[in-house]
Amino acid sequence: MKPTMKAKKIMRGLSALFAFLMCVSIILGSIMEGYSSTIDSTLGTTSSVFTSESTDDDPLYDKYVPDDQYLNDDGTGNSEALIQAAIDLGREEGAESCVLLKNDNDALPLDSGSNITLLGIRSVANLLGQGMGSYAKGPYISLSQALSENQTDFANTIATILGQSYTVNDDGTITMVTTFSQTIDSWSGSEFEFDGAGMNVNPTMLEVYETLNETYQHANNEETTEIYDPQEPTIAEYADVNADYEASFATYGDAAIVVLGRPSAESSDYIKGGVAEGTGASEPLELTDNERAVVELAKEVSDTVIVLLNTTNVMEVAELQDDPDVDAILWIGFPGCYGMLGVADVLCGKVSPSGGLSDTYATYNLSAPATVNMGYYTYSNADSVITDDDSSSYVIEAEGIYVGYKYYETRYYDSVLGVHNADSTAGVYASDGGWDYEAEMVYSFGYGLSYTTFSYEWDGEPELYVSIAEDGTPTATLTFNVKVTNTGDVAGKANVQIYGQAPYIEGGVEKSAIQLLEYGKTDTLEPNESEVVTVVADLQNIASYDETYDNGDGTTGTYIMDPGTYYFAVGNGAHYALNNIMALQGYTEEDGMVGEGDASMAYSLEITEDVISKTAFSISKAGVAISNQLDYADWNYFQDGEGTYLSRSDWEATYPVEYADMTLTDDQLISYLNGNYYTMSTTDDTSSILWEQDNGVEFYQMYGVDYDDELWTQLLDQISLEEAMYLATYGGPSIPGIDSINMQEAYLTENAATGIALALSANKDTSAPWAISTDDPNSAWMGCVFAGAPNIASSFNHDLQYEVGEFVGVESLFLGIPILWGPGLNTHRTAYNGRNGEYYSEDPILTGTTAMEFAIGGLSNGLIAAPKHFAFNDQETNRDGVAPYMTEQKAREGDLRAFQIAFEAFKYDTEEEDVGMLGVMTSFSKIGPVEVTCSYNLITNILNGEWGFKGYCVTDIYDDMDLYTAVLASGVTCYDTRGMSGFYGSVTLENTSYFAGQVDGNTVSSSLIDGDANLQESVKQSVHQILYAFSQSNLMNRYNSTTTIEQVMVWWRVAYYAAIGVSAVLMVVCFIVYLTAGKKKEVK
Amino acid sequence: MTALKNRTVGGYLQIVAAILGIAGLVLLIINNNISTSYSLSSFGLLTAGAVLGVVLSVVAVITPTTSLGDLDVVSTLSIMVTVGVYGLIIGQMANERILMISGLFSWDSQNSTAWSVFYMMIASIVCFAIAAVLLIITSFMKTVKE
Repeated sequence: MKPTMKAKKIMRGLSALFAFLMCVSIILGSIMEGYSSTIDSTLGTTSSVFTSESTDDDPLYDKYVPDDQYLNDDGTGNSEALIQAAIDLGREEGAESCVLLKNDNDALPLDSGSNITLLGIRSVANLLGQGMGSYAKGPYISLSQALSENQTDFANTIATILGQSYTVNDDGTITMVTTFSQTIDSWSGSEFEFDGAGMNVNPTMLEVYETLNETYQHANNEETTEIYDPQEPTIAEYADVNADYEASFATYGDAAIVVLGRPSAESSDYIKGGVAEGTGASEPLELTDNERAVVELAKEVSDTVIVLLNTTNVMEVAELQDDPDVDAILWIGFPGCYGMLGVADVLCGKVSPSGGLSDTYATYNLSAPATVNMGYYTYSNADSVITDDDSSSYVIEAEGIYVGYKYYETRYYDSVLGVHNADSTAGVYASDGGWDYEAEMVYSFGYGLSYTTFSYEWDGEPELYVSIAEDGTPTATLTFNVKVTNTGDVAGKANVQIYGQAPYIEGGVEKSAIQLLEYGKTDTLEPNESEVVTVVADLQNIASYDETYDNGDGTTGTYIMDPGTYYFAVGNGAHYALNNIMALQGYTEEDGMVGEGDASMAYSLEITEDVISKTAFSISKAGVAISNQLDYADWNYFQDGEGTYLSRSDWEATYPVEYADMTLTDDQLISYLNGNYYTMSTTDDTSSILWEQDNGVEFYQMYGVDYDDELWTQLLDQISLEEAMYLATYGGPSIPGIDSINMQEAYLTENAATGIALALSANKDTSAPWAISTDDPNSAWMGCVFAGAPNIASSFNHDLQYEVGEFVGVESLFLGIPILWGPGLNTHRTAYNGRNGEYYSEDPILTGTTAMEFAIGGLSNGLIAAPKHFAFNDQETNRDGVAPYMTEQKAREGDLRAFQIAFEAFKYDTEEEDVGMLGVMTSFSKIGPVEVTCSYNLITNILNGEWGFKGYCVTDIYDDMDLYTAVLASGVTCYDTRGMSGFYGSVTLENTSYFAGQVDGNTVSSSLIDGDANLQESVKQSVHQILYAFSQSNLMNRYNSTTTIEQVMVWWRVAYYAAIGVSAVLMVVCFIVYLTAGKKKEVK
Repeated sequence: MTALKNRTVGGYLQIVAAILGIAGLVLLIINNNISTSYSLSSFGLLTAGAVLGVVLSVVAVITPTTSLGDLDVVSTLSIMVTVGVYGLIIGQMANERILMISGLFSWDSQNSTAWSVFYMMIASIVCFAIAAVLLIITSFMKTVKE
């Protein structure tokens, strides 16, 4: 071959190669710009930076400033102080959340210097957080370290995670694949000293479990599976690692501590009967044979056997309660990265346990009526009538309001009274014959022991306060002053739980025989020391929702307080509070009471119409008249008579049946399920809705401006409709900028309630004086280090719950994240919900109050907590659109009451200021057949209307993007568009693939709603709420009139620019040489 | 048939590349139509690009057998444009699915519809990628016998 031909071929080939590389570089660059914020978070780069000039007249970073303890003298951030504070708070949280359930023979606390043996694979692979959704990440302090060491070993103790993904098999089934990894690559930062428990932990068994875990690969954050196996090694396997392991027991036999756990995570539930074969268990939350064997081994190791329950899903532990050789049971939940220090404090007696259970521990979880209907249900005719991808699944919540203790205690009450067929066999699991509370119950909600004892007495009569404002807004509180005295030998805290009982009227609205109203906690009381704890109960929370009440104005349904005798009590959990009330009512153990009651700890109050009118709470705190909004949540609303909800009027006749294979016949029901919620107009006169006005207002001016201030109108009128649509669409983490008001696109939101899931090195506000640089040795530290939600709830400590929120607020200042997607605020409908580790409790009062404290604490540092998932995210199974059907009473008194308490934040309201939460995330689920995101009644009428919410309301991730106009119209302010950034350029309304297929056939674009006045108003309202929320946040630290965003030439940007340039030049050069070579050939 | 018989290995690989381009196009269309929730917002452009690529790769197959001869400018430009377009299609398809993919490997791991879309996308991308690689390889080679 001639040389010219060879050169021509080579040049031709290279031309093609470089053409390919150039185009790939161009598209890669475009992708990287579109996801620049995500790349920055992952790589720790900063591709864009706020630049502002701080002047005396227009200062920056003066609105929210971290406390001095987190700063160096020059105002720069002190990462070591920050982490030390997190360790201290995590330790306090870990200790206060421990719930001592059993302590026979004063087995606990253990003496300092004790030689102990830790047993069970979980004693090494401690569960610290959830497998997905609410992790504990980064370096941590293990249980064994907390018990025996005095310094962290962060470099070698990094929290691990067991992630799951799924592959679709040829037959359509899904196979799970698990991956074990560390939550951060490595730790080369500071180590910290701590005051450990001073015990000696059996090193042989630690080594045995660590070796076994190399095979088992249990992690600190795990997910459950539908066919669950806790994979506790067999005892025989110990010998495979160390044949002489038993010899170590003689030395370390002062106590044997068995750690048993169950993971929790979003995306998957425990399933009824979903337990692996051969485990010896019939349910996933029951102990397996291998776990029982570990407990038996513990008895051989020591006469003192202690079991730690490392779980946020209720495990079935009746056998441990009944076992006389198991001396103590301590619930520790998911204690987070540093909470094991607190657990060790409790085990060694530095701290007396003071927590109460945030969930009911029944003998069998399936004895809860809610478990009759949970999991997979598909309409029998879904294939023929359902056209929407996510609308074929449902669950009928036939248990009504009787969730958790409200079922067990109400049925107990009725059984003692011998009424309503309470002692029938319906719903019997553990009872021998008719329903028997003692057999069905292990530990009731709120229960918890201490190392000391306390006496409780009313310090004066409870004080009733009732006030009705001119607009009808009611305020009614009952203030309890409870004198708590430490009557034992050691110091300790006591929680004070106040419960109430509203008068039940035969055939009337459903009422629980007992319900938590409020709680408080003492400081640490020395022996014989007393403290009066003041607990203010909002009587709105004892009102019942009567769906049938005729409001006289054409509407139906509102909150009522039936006149009659109301009872209140303090007690160690719901059961003992109820017993105290029953004692006051004259009942005794001879009547069938389980346990004693103390009438002196109960209080009765006659509430007549002239004290509090029956409909006092028909007006919300925001001054809005309340009526039915969610009647479509009830299956019977569409297909009457097909569903029966549990009623205490007849436990036997109304006990839930399973509603499987329901058939859709009602046209409206089917239409809703198919996403027909909103019909867009194209011909409205929109001239009265102002856009693009020249009012000269900029975003930075809005800090502290009241929501109703006229300046907001001017600002909103200045924005263009296109800008408004972008803001009302892309809800984060990256939020679009608005040129017309000088607001810049930025990464502003993140997960979750265990702290902000971002490393210090990925700080989104690098201009802050306290920003930790990537050079800092601790820059790999992540904020998500705190305990699971049930832990902080079980502390029953308002101050601690506030402090955790306050600290996460400090994290937000260091990380530049003004909005947090958390905490989890749904209630635990059943023990099987995979996400119970992220939600606080089965009780709405405890849930709502804990979330409120967290959120208001965060707000003190300019962090807006946006709790999730509003609302009714009652199961992870089929969570993408599952339709939960329920009565409006259940909706109002369950999940919604929890959210309401948090959003109203009544405790923090003053005459001058109506304090409230400023963010929320909606649920994937529906309410009845209507997507939550599209429910105008839920979002606009209840959330915005009744509760007066003014803030950022985001969907869950990419939820219902095929229902764009309906979501815009509902009052939801934006979508969770995680990953997207580069708006108006790389990402537009027109090119966002998730919007490509709209149910209503529309094509999403910036001109879509030009002819729909309602949608334009709704978008303007959304922008108002979003910007108002931001204007109250620490985002305003970085804004003034000079604020701009500058793009930074980070290495990955340089790399793709270079790749494009080099490949383009080489392509041209090669092509020219190719052409030239051809000409030379022709000349020759 | 004569044109086929006169082809070298490179020439046959070009034909394979053209067929793979067609396969990628078909899979792209299927990918777009699995579910309305997973439509491609730039489906029209992607389809047009894929059709252009297929046509040009056919042109690259044909022109060396005409009077233009082997290593001609037309086939060279056709190949350059085709591989460039295929590169853009691969990138854009990935771009449109990147959020879905991140969901599949985290919070949305049980979404079987999305997994189907994912596998179909991978198949389509593999077809376009192999086609582009084959075209690049053949551009270093003679495609017809002398």
